[in-house]
Amino acid sequence: MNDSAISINDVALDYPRKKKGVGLLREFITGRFKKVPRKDRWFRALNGINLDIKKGEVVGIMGPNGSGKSTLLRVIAGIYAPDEGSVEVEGRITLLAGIGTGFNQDLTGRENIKLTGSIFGFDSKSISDMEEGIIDFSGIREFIDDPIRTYSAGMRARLGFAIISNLEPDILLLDEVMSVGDHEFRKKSRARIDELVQGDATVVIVSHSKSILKSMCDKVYGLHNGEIVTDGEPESAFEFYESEKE
Amino acid sequence: MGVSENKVLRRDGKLPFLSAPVKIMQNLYNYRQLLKHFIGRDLKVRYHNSILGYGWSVLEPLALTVTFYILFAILSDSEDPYRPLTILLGILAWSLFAKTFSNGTTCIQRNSSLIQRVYFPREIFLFSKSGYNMLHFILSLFVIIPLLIHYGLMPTQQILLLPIALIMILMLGTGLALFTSILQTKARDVEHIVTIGLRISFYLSPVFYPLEMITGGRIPEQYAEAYLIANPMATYITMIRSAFTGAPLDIPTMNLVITFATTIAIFWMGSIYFMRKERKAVKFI
Repeated sequence: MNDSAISINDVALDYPRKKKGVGLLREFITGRFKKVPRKDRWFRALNGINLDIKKGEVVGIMGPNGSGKSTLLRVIAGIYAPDEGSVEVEGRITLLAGIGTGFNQDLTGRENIKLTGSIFGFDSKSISDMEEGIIDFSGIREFIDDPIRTYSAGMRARLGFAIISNLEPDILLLDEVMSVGDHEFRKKSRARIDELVQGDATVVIVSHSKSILKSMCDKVYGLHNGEIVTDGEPESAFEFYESEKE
Repeated sequence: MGVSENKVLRRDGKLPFLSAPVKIMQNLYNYRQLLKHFIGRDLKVRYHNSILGYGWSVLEPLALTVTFYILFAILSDSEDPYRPLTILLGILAWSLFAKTFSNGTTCIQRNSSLIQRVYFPREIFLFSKSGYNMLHFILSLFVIIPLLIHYGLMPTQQILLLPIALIMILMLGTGLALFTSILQTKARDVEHIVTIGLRISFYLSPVFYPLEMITGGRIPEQYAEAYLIANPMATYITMIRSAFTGAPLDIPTMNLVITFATTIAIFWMGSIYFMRKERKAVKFI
């Protein structure tokens, strides 16, 4: 039991169909204040998920758009609480997804490093220890004391990746993050991810790319309509994914 | 840091009911570092250009005070020896409440990109806004010093009313925001309702006039009592004024007890509501 980093037991999660909420005024004017049955307002985004991921394992998750891949990562990261079942996680988790937002525009790059570090639960001292490494890796040292709002999109992405990837999590969740910045930085970030994958960290990767998953993962699961449909054998997940595309 | 440990508690533990405020306080304590960073971030953004930033932030209450002072000199014949002080303290106290309430209302929705990226107790957003507004209030308070010197007012024991009133205002504003921040995720016009509600109660509260103008015999006594119960801010603003002028607090003890109890109840119920609904609400942002 104790060699599990992540164990997911019979997890189900409901998700609202109308994500962006409603307007009370609009509802009032259009007179649609009627009670909508629960099954019309919610759909089951994840259903009967069972996964046991060992420490140090690298697991891929593959599936068509809308199959619940990102939602699953968020459940593991604790962002969404499951409606049924339980998730047990051992260690510090970092979710890396669509990098760069979450920065404060008016603070400098350096201040944002501190802020992001404390958001992920690091104390001031360990943040200071990591700071130089992050700045070096980002390659934007000359702009690090300028406010983020003066940064280009590429610079923000570089800084975002540099911070997250230097936090050295026990569990790293990657959501389609292999395409940041220019060619050179992309190579650098790919190398960094390889390094993390080969290290002690437990890694869960969500991707559409067969080549990435094939080269990195011990196991790959296929996800379809919120259910896991393959047994973890990479080849069967790829087969399932190919058949889904047709 | 108890990041993952806390997460397990939050997910598998029973949802708190009566212990909700205690649980919130524990979370705030465990994440005090982050709380400090969020408050520091807001202060830094606000006062970035130190002197000028501070100047701008007190310019609005000062300008409003001058406006209401002139208006009152023309419109009213009431004798208030400390009129500019009365108005200024009213405006500062009111904006502490209004900012805490309205910033709190939108803070869950505004931070959606962060919430979808990393887990930590979401009440941190709310309470960091409350903490920031509190510090901002204290910093703004320095502008009354020239007035205190001008009137020769020395602190008396009445100054003890100040911390009590401040805590109560924060509890009231945050308590209401514990409800509205959740509702805001589901219905995007809650913030507009809050804005309108605050604007109306601005005029209905003794912000730019003393409480005596309402309770001082112009309306029957039972209405005056009902007014004090319905509007906790009337009491708290008056307490803050007494704290500085040294005047005795002219509010019946029974009314004070009821007002404090209502505020604590709102905060308590808000905590329960927030802790129960928060995990569902974040799916809407």
